[in-house]
Formats: sequence, C-alpha cells, structure tokens
Amino acid sequence: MQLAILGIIVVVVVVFIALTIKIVPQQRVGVVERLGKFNRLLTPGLNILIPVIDQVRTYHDLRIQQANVPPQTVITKDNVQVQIDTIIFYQVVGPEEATYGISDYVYGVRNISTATMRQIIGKLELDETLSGREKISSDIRLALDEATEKWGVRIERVEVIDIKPPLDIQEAMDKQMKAERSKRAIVLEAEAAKQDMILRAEGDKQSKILKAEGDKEARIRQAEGMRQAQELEALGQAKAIQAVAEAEKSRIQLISSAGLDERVLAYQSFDALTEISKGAANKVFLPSSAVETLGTLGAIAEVFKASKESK
Amino acid sequence: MDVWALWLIIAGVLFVVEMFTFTFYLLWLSIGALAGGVVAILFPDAIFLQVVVGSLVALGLTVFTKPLAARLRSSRGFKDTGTEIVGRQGLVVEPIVPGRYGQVKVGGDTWSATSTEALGKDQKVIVVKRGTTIIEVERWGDTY
Repeated sequence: MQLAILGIIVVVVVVFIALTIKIVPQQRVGVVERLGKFNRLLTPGLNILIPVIDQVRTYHDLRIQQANVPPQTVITKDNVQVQIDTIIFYQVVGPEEATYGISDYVYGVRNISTATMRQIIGKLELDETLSGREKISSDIRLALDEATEKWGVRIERVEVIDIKPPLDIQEAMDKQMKAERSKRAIVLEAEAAKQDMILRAEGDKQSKILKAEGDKEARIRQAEGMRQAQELEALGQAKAIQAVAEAEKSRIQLISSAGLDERVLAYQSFDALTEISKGAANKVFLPSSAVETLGTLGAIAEVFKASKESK
Repeated sequence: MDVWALWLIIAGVLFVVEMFTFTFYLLWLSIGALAGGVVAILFPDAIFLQVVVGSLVALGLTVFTKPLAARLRSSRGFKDTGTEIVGRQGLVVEPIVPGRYGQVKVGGDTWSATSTEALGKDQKVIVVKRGTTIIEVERWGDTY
C-alpha cells in the first residue's frame, strides 16, 4: 500500500516536471494554448509551462521547406497539354496564423500553387511557357502572396523544374528545328551557286569584251593595211596607164610624122583582110568594090587635109 | 544493498539519460534522487520521507528554472529572416499603385508590397512594416 502511494507520488512528480520544462530547439516554435485559448509562442531555448492549464498545440518549423508537386497536366492557351513539374519553397512566417488560419497549410500551399500555375500557364502560348520562366514566377508570386497572407505562410518561390510537351509536339518541334537548319543550308548553297554563276558570267563578259576589242583592233589594222596597199596599187596603175598613154601618144606622133597616105592605108587594110581570113570563122565576106571604098577613103583624107588648111 | 546506493544508481542513470536526450528536467530529477540518497544515508528506514524530500527538491528546482530561463532568453539567438526586413532598402520591380500590390526586391527575395503613394519601377524604397507575406514600403531617396 505504502509502495503504491510512493509510486504514484513519484510518477506524478516526474510527469509534472516533464510537462513544466520545455526546451525548444532553434528555428522551431511552439504554439501555447491556455485552457484552449491562444496564449503565446514558445521561442527557442528553455521554456516554462504551467502543466494542465497550458498545452502546446503544435510545433512549427521556421526553416524554408520544400514541397514537390507531382507532375500536373496543364493546358496552354494554344490548346497543348503539357506536363509541368514544379517545386515550391515556402516558409512559416506567422506560426499563429499557420495554426489557426488554415487547417493544413502544407496541403493548402500545394493546392494553391498548382491552381495558380494552371491559371498562369493557361494564359500563355506553348513557346512562351518554355522560355518565360521569369514571367511565370513573377505572376505566381503576386497571386500566391494575396492568398497566403492569412495563412502565415510565405511562398518564397515556385520553380518550374520541367515542362514536357506531348511526344508528337516534341517531334514536331524537332522537325521544325531540322527544317530551319536545312533551310539555312539550302539557302547558303543557293547563295554559293548564285555567286558562282555571277562570277562566271563576269569572267565570260570580260573575256568576250577583250576578244572583241582584240578583233576590232585587228580588223582596223587589217583595213589600214588594205587601204595602204590599194592606194599604192592605184598609184602604180596610174603610173602604168600614164606610161602606156605616153607611149601611144609618141607612137601616133611617130606614125603621123611618118606621113599616112591612101596607099599605105589600102595596103594595111589588105593585110588586115588576110588576117581576118585566117580567123576561125567559116565565111568571110569580102567587099566587091574594095577599091572604090578605098577611093572614098582617099576622099575623106582630102577632106581632113582641107579642114586642116582652113585652120 | 543499501537504500542510498539504490538512490545513487537512479540518480546516475537519470543523469546519463539526461546527457543523451537533453530534456533538462531529468537533471532536476537526478538531483532530486541525489537528495533522496542523502536522506537515505541519514534515515535509512524512512523510505516515504526519502521519496517526498527527493520530489520536493526536484519540484523546487523546477520552479527555480523560471528565472534561469529568463536569463538564458536574453542571450542573442538566431533571428528569422522576416523580423529583420523592416528598415531595409529595396528596389521596386513591379510598379506599386495604391490599392494594388506591386513587387519589391529586398536582398535576394521578391516581396509583394503596398504603399500609400504610387511608386514607379526602379524606385528605391525602405520597408516600414511587414505582414506575413506583404510588406509596406515608403519612398526612399531621390526619384528616378
């Protein structure tokens, strides 16, 4: 009996002392309720509680905590379903509100982040979501701060770890990239061909021009030579004609000085007749009255003489 | 085996456990057990007395903890980031219009902020008050 009483006393004392002294480690904080009403916060270090009356409701960790949100399927503005993987960093700032303002702040933080993310992604095109992380986190900050003000929780940052477009879209993106690159290659090739052709044409043009120039030069020279040659030839011919004429003139003068009379002429005409008869022709008509004609010739000679004397 | 030796063993065990767990109150209990042991040396037969004295000593020490705790509390500890943001300078990232939240960068963090006046971007501000997630800022220095 005595032992039982002693045991009870010891137990009561031990429990009483255990409930009185509370050591709270750094960066943790306890919420104390006195008879069910909020009384104070237990700060790190040594704390004294009044057992039975005071009760620690919960402890909060004041360090920044991370919550990984499982991959969500979100629909973008251009109706593409993307899998988005986010991580949230949050911190309990007001332990009091975190206890009394919301039943389960971790769950709440996750949900609000996911919902806000959905909303923000829904306003963006796919390409923007892949590149505009700055904008996403800035938009998310505003929406979350307004919501979590009453929860005593501050969401430090929401980071997008990964955005996965669906497979076919990814393939399309790859194709687009490839097409872009091949386009560039083709354009470059075309440029090269163009340059090549232009250069060739330039060369052709220049060579033709040069050839023509050469031809022209050559022809001019040739013509010059021809002209000079012809001039010389003409000169030579002129001289030759002159010489011939001179010789004729002297011959005529010589003949006339020798004294042409009817008899010589008649003789010479006979000579000519014999020459004619030797020709290839079959028939030769000899005039019957050749002598008379010669007589007329003599008359003509008389007339010439008379005209000369009258002068 | 003597009763006082038993008390001593209890005290020693409590002390060792205290050193391992650091709950602080086991220290008082072990001192209480020591007191019980002292009483046991004087009056080996009065077990009841021993237990009561030991309990009273432990309780007395517990009550004495309060001033000790107050003294320990005054020593400087780690402060959380929020408490020291007031009075710091920041830079407006998103313009603040009265009635709507803007954003201010203080240190490496971006905070939603309100102000009594409209503040443009890149305006230097100073933090005057802090709620949970929203800070109140004032114009600081010359405008841009």
